[in-house]
Amino acid sequence: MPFDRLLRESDFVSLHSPLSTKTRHQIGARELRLMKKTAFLINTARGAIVDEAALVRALQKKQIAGAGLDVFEYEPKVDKALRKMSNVVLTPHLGSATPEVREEMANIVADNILAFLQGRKLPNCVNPQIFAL
Amino acid sequence: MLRTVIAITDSPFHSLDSAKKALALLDPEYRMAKSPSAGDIFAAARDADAILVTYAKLPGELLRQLTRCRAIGRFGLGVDNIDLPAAKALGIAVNYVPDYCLREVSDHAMALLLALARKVAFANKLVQSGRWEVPPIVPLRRLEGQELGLVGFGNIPRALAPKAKAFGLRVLAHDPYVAKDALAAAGVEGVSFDELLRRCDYISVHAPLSPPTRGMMNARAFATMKKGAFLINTARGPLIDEAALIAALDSGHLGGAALDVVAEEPLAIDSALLDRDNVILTPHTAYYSVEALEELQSKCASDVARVLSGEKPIYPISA
Repeated sequence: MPFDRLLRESDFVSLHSPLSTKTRHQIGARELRLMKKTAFLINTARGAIVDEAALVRALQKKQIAGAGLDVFEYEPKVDKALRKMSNVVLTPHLGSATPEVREEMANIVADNILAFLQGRKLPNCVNPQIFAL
Repeated sequence: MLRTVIAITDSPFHSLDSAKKALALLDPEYRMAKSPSAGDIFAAARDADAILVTYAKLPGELLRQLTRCRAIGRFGLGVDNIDLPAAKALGIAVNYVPDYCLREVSDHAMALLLALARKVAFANKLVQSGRWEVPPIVPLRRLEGQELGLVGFGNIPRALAPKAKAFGLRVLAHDPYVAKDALAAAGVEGVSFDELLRRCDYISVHAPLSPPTRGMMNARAFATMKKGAFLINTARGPLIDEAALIAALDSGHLGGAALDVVAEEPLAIDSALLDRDNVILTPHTAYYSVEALEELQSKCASDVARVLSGEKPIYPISA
């Protein structure tokens, strides 16, 4: 469904975009105004996807009902106003904090280094263009 | 013909619109008791055709003085405030609403489980106080593959099981009144109480409160539980021996607890359950949603309307 319609219709909006120049402040004052007054915003992706100042204003004006945030625009700094709202739940970027995930992350990093040292193709390369040089 | 009179003994609701809508065809006169004392209830209900009651007590001596009462509708599930044998002897039909909040309570149990698993309440408290700290919160364990044990397999745990499975939890249950086949059909592994305690990472209590279940979660049960396991109670407070729970939390044997109900409500301000990072408390709100309360009022009042129109109630209860 189109982005604006999703914002207008949903009771919970959960963000899962990667952070890029295009998605920075994907949720700003305009988007928050489109959301239902009874809706909640959830962000477990990247803080800067949300214009945090606009979010604080929207919450203060009760434009939305609340927010659940694991990530913040200026981590580890969390806006003081956000910290005082009883309809906002805050966690310190814990989305991936299980021993199982952390072990998997370590294994993936090690696998990629090994692959590089052995001259194999990297399984998770983010800038493959360097190999074309 | 006399106008139908409906007495309301007490009401915790903001409005009784849903109940009144269900009774609209009878065009009744409502009489609200000034207080839930026996005298005020009698004054309102003396010649009422039916009574709508929430928490107020309706003992036999009060019921026997009523001149026209044919129906009592209880806004809720428990009927221990109504003298059922006396109502039966007087030919008063009593109805209740056993199923208005199944979704809410099972959601609440799941929310408490997730909050324990992800330490949401503790993390939120830290960040709100300006402490962006991960070490006090970790380790957290991956939910997928962990085991949830349901004590009792009535309507609420039956609604909870598929929600827990959606998160990848394996679900076990113990219920002496449910056949193993029925558990298997629901995709739940039936086990003995002790095996449930020994194996599960999360134990969620859903037994009705009765003499044999009172205090069933006692020191022995906690000692049988896995070290680091979590306890969830959205049923009735006295199912848990609270002194034993506090000891199991103090010793570090239990990983934490999430309680919507406690032995004595409201919770004492000096309760040893307060001010713990691994204990989540909600004030008996698991049943609540706007929709659940509308359903509660409308089901209860519809049954009263049925009885007054000479039909059978859908949710009767009798001694």
